[in-house]
Amino acid sequence: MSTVPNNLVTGASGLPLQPRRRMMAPVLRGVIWAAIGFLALNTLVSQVDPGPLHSYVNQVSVVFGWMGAVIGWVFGVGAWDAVVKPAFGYPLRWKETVGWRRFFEYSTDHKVIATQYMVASGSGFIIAGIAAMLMRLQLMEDHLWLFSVPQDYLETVGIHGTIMMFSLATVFMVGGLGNYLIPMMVGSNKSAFPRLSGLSVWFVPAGILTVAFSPLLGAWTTGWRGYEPLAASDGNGIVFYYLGVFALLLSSLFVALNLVATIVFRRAPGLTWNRIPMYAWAMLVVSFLNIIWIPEIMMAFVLALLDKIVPLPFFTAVGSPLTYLEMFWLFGHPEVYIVVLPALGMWMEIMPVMSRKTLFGRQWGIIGLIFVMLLSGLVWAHHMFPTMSDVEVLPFSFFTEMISIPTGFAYMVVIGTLWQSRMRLKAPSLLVLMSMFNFLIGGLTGLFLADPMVNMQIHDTFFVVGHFHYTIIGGMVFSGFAAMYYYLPKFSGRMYNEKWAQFGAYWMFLAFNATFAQFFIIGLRGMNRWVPVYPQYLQAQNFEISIFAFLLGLGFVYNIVYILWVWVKGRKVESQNPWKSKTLEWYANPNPEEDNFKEIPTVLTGFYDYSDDSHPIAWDPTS
Amino acid sequence: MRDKALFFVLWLIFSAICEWLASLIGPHFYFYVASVQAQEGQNAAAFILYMAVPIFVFVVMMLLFALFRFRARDDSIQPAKSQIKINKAYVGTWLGLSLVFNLFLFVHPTASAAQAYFNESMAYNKSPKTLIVDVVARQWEWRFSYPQYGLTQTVDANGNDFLELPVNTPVKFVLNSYDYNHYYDPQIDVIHSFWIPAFGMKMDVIPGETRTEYIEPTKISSTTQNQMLRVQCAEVCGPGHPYMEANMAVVSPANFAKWVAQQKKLEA
Amino acid sequence: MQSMNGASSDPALYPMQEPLTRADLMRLRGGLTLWLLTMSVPLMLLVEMRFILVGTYVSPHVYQGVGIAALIVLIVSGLVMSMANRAAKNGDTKSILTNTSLTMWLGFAAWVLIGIQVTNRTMHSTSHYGETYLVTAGLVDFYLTCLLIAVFAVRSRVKRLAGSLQNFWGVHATTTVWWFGVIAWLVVYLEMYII
Repeated sequence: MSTVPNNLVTGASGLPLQPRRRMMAPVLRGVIWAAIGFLALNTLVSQVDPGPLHSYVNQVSVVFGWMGAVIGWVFGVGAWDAVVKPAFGYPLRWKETVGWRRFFEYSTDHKVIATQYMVASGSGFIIAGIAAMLMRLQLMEDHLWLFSVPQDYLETVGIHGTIMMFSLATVFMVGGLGNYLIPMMVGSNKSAFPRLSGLSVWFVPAGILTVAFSPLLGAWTTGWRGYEPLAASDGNGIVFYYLGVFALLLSSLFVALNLVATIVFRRAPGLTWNRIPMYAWAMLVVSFLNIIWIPEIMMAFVLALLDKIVPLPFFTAVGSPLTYLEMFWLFGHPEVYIVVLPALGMWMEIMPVMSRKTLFGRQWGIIGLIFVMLLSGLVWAHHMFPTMSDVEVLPFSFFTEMISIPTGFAYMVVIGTLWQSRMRLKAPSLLVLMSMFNFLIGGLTGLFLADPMVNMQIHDTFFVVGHFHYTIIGGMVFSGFAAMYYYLPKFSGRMYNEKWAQFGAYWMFLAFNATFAQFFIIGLRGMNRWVPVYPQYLQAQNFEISIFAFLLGLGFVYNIVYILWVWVKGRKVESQNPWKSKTLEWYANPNPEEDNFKEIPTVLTGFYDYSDDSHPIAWDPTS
Repeated sequence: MRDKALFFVLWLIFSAICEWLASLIGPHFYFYVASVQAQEGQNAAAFILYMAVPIFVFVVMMLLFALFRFRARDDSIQPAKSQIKINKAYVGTWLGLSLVFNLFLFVHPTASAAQAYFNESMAYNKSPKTLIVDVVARQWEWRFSYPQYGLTQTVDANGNDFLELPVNTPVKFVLNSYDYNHYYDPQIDVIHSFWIPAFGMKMDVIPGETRTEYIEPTKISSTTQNQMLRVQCAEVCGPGHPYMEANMAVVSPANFAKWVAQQKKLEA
Repeated sequence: MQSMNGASSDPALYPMQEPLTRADLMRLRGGLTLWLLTMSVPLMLLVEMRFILVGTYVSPHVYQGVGIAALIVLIVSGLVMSMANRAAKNGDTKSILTNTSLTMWLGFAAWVLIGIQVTNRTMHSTSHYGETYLVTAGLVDFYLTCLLIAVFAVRSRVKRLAGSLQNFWGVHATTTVWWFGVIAWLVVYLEMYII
């Protein structure tokens, strides 16, 4: 396929065209190399260590085969030519292409990488969403009818949770929106480590597919937390759970390194620490959480994997089962804030613009983000109240209740901004208000869960399921949709239709609340988690919850399809800054194929003063 | 100023209405309460509910104010009249109230309820009246034995594991997770969670550890009458997890004595 | 900002050959610091794991001599790598090549020494000390594997691009990370063999 170097099209260099060495389509090459990598390492290892059954694919060989596959995949899509060979001093033969093809290969352009992240992460959302629909379908009856054995149901639960958490919730607003917006927001043409960033995105599809195809190895029944010692005696599919999550976490770790360095070291002149945009603050805080806690859980998963395949009895009855749980939640609770802090940042980003009012109490918003980050490492054990002995519970209960204070600052800031504002009710602001409502319910139900005595009743019931879906879907997914509608003109140069978008927003909001508010009730009525078979008295309500859940699923599909349609076919936007926002991303070049800034701007003022129409940078409106 | 006054009045009115609604829901938060401990949890939950209502009303009304009162009526883009950047009184009040609110909740009901349960446990543990039930969880079965009566495995008419308790008598459950058929295989023991919904208490059963749970049942009933009264595994423990439940009954002390005698005959 | 001297040395795509600005160095050092922070987290977790599972017990089966030998070899290799780094400061490519190659041999020796007890089944994988030892020493060996590849890459780069290389960030960075590996084994040695 013929390709042209990127900067030639932009006219930056004016050098003659240098075609890339003719090669196979990178994604296809990646798949083939992955297959070769798997076969090579799997064959080698299963010959050296045949395992008790002498099967071609055994627990150990599949781990090495998987490593070969992932390395083959990442090398195949471009890392071999663009990263590995140059690292050994060979001349670089890799040119980035233009047009649609560049989304299907290794790239160093942060906008391309971000789009790849959004698509990969969105695909994860769809896959995990289908799993959720299957679960709800099964739960319409109180006995097994859709699945033939409980393993299948439990495995669906595990796939749903794992892909949602590690490829959507952790990734979409950080790897996707973060990679797209942060370099623009800090006035840079690229991120700090573009080659690393280009590499990281390709771990996401690998991770999603690994988890999605885990049933190939055998059913696993632990759900997304992989609790020991069950995981050690569980089906072999759990091996792909560890490996898939490992790949997804590796991707998020690279993103975190890149984003921190971008925010700290790539800021435009004049963009002082006092002026860093709120979303960039959220990304900074989230990335620090990622940098500290992701390696922690990766190591814990390696231990659990070795516990399974060697086996080492770390977490069995003769070891310490609770240690795994502690290690998991030590990451697991910061993870919740990794998911939600970007949403809080997005509220504070969108609302001043839509309400034409100066951001209220900006410093308190930042203090809130930072204190959430600090406290999030002190609350993990509230996921284990019935697991711990009673005397250890109270300190964690204390910090759990205290962490609501800095989280509340985000509300304080946004409410203060909205007060006596001139709020334009458009899809983004509507979705932010909805997100605030949902997250409020998630937070207030957390009060019940933080109380050990009440927790002993509602732990492991659908009350908890309702609670965390309110925080994660209600907080992150709604804010994610708000951000997508808000930034559509920036991403695509096209504008959505207000009626169709608001229709979608109301649809999601109503279906979401109708579904998950009932989770609280059915949980209190005695519906416990991880059961495809349950007492008959809960059947009627489960049936009706499922109906609303299908409506919610359709609502998500409607919004995703509509956003994609606008991205490709929507009405062209007249102004490059339709919301009249003051943050730098809206001053960047409207053409996503080109550099963000022809000339790096110098920031003169903060971004959140909406008392007038002045610009934060020297700006010639005719340009 | 008018906005503030209006907001404050509406907040009072709606908080009052919602508190009234909460007072209808609060006492039935747990749906079915059949032990002293469930009643304590129920009281704590209701208290938290009453405390949470004004906050909920405050934030939701703020959102509604943004939606209705502060909404721009036309599409023109012009700055809002107020451009306030910080209001120390508002921030101070917010900070102060949220601190007081959370500390208060921690003292009551969090710490006080935990304290109450702790004291009950101590008292039950000392009392000679307390019935001791050994519970063994394995994949996937609950097994009950009554060491005070020499019963090793109590069953119902169909031979399924069955838990029977006398009403108004403290019970000490001693919880262990191991497989009595495969005691040589440590890989097979997993975490279970001992939960009787009507008793408002659950305790995970950890392999290699012994846990205790203290309960005093207050209502005579059985699984057949109310399914909230069932022994349910609440922690996922493998493919058989959905089926890991046992039926139970709470009966009068006289009936309990009869049942013990009958079980003894069965085991003999 | 995009480099204007032709597509083939677009700094976004090509390993940096040009002289680095102060800002570039700041960014690279910052990134490296974060990276070392992340790499030390698994080690901290394993240290904690050891004290949870085995307290301060040290197995009599552990090869004390091999542990100290690996430590000495690694410290020497670190000093040699530092010499390569000093040579890089002076732009002495020949000395870089000799010293990095010596580092690799020493590193490989340490890799083998540490690997002995990870693979020879003298540590019981069913004992708590044994399983912790296998994972902890195994992690250091994994780090060393990555480090050996990194030094090899840097060495090849210096060798192939000797004429056009105008910065030696690669050598500096690899030296830092190499010392991280040495310290990792020092920590593991003290933890698994002594305390």
